[in-house]
Amino acid sequence: MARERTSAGPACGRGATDFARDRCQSTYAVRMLTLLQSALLLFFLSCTLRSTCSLPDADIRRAFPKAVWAYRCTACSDVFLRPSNGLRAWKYRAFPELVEVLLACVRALPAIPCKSLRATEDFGIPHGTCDRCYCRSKRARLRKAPAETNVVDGPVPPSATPTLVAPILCEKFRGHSSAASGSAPVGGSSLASSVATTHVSAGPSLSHLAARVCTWTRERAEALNKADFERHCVVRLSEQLQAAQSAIASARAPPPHSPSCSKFLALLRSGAVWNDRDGPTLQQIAAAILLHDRPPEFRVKRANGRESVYVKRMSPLKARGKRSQRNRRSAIGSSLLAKVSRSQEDADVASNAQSVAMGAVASCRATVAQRRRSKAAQPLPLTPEQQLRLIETYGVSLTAFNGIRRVLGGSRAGLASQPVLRAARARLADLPAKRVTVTRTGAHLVNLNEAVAEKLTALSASNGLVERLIRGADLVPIPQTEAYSPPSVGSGSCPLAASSPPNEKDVHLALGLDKGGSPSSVKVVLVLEHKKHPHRLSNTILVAVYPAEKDSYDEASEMQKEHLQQVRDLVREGVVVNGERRAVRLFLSCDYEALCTFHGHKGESGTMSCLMCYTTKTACASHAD
Amino acid sequence: MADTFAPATLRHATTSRLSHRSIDRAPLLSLDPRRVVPIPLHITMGVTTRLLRLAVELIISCRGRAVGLPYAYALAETLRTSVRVSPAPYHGGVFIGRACHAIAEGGDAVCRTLLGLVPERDHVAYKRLWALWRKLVRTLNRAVDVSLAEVRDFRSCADLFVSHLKLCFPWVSISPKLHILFRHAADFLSRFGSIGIYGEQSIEASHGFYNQNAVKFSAETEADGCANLVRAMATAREASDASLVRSTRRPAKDGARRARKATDRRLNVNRGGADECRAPREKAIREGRQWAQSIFAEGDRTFATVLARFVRGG
Repeated sequence: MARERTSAGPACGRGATDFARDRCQSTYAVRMLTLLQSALLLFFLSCTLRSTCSLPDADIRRAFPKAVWAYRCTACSDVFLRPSNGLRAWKYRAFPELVEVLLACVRALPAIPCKSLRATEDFGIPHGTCDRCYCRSKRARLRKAPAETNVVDGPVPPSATPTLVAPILCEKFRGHSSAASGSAPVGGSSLASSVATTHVSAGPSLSHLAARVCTWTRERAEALNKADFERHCVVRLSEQLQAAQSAIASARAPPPHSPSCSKFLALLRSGAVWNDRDGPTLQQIAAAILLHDRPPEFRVKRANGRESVYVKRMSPLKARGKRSQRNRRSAIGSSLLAKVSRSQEDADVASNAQSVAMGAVASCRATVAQRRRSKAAQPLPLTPEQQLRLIETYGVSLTAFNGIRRVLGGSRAGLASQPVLRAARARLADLPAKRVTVTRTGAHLVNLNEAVAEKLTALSASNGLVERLIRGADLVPIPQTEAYSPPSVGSGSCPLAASSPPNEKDVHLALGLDKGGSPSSVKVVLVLEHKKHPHRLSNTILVAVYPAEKDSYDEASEMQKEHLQQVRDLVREGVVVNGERRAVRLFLSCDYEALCTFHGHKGESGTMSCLMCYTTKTACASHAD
Repeated sequence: MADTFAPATLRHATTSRLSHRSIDRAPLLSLDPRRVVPIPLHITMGVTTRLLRLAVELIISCRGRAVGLPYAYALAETLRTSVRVSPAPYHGGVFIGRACHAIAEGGDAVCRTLLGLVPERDHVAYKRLWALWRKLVRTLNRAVDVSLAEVRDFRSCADLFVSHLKLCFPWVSISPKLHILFRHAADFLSRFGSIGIYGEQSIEASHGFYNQNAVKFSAETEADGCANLVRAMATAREASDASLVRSTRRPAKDGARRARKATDRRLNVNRGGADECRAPREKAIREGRQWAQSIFAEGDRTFATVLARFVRGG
């Protein structure tokens, strides 16, 4: 103990100053070593981080079995994690099927909020702008100065990249690693930032230490570069050798052929082409296959061997839509028609062609509908004759019609003027089917046969002719197959009294006579029964009108001798419909008094009051049987 | 049968007067009697009026003449308030065709007026008449081709209607319209498939058109006025529906607009309010009373004739 104390004595005896100086030097060395150790640690950590930030997309995509919680910054081209609850769950979840090194590298990525996440690509990871790049670009924009970082996609020019080979300025190390992206082999910026942080925390007394560290680091980097250069030379030589060997082999081998589909599929499944560059091309390939072949079904084989079949299924539109649906479809069709035809004139022509194809009635309705939709007033498609027919049908006077026409804009409304309508009326009055003669007793049509033929022709042209078949004894309609042949004048047969065979093609006409109205008049009407609504006034033919107070036999015989012969001729000759002659089956449809007048019957006071059988007037017990 | 021996088919010049069978003038038009339409509109109006008059005759026969007129007034008021129909003065003071259909549908309201006034047997018989008539009138005036089952149903109902009328109310005579209904209407229906298509509605419509536009067609002479009407109708003959834009609204489903609750506003009793002015109401009441007086007078005369015939032993 004393010896030790003695031996320690001279040391202690050298003086407190020397001891303090030695002690200070040892402390300084320890601190220097610690600082160097921490700098190296930071340097290697930075290298590690730098290497993880440049992980390929396929590895990152593989690390996320489901949702990808990483993104690549389009400004700095680095990969970051996207902080979220899903990321937290992913970090604490075990993935035994993945390589631990890959998982550790991906988990070591920095979690930086993404400012603008773009759409996820099919074969890569999402792209976005990290928070720091975003803030930097924003500050640059505010300063109206060119930003130091290029926010848009694309690598940074190498000349702007600070490397460790070049002199390092500590002021430039305040940025993050994006400024050093590119060809920098090591992460000098991270080291510089850490050194700067150490410099700030250590205070101004350690500034010279930081300078020394920088110098040491530069020397170290030069050494590394030198080693790298040698290694690169070896690699380049070996590559040139391999290229020469492959050239010789290709010169000897047959011309290269494209990989087979099975090889390409194997490559695709192995993930060799699942990156950002090949994604759009793969999409184009898939679109070309699908659009060219138009396969009826798509078969997708899953990783577990299960095969899913997707079949294209057309969803037909409802055949009978409601009104709003029909209007919507019509509007869509019109717009498509206008797009296809490229101009309004062509669209009108195409619309007219479509309307003609859909039929005359549909054409008129489509035209009216188009006219309703169009803002500009278009002329009505009705001729003056058609307008006059509607005027007469609805009992509008020409004066009232002219007033409405002037309100609607005169000739621009497309309505005919009074002189035009009068001229049309005169033209119509000259037609044989509409010519009217006035006699002493009343007025009647000149040519009844023409009137019936005109009505039947119009009815047949509009597809409104409804066939009326006669039923047999078993109440089943008998088809009409035979054409009518009129009897000769000298044959003496009377088609009125004798019915034509039921299988003969015929036209049903009902002749009516009745007195009524105010002023009182007797009217003779011929009704064509081949319409859906035969009793509508526009479907009847007014044959004659006589002013009379009663429809007695004497007056009626005097009045009707003008046109009853026409009726007989009509029944004998028949009418021609669609090029074939049909028999006229005449019915009497009027009240009991008019029936008695037609038949010359006594009426209800007669003993045989019925016109169709021999029944007597007196009620008997047989009625109650 | 009917088509062979009907008097209408006999030639006037070659037969003697006795064989004319009540045809004493030369027929203006010789026609197959099977093609004489069984006047559905006039049968409807005539039979409806006859059934209403039968109720008055029932009251006269059971309660006497003094009760007949008040009952006729009550009947007219019931038709006005319950069935909501009124006689049309321009139609001879009787009900028009549409009102006849409404009365047939509301025949129960007419039958209820007889409750307690006539024996139960007569009330039930009268009610059955209305039930049969309701079936007949639906087929008679519908302008469509009817089915085979409906033809058979019509024939059986027509026979049953007339036989039941003659059996339960023996003083009712068989008019030509009733004869046509139970003898010829079913034949026409089974041969041509419909009666309403061939009906006389169109000629009645021409009367209405002339009434509405009489001023427009007026001329120096009546014949010229008639000529204007014929020209206008000839011009309007070709007016096509294709020129018009018609609404494509479909009718509601059957029963969609029926009252489902007792408090539904569709029911007339729940509508309330003054939906009718005083003057038209008084006019309708006055015309209804006129109609009631006419059917009472006619029913009284009919019953008196029957009684006189019964007294004579006929």
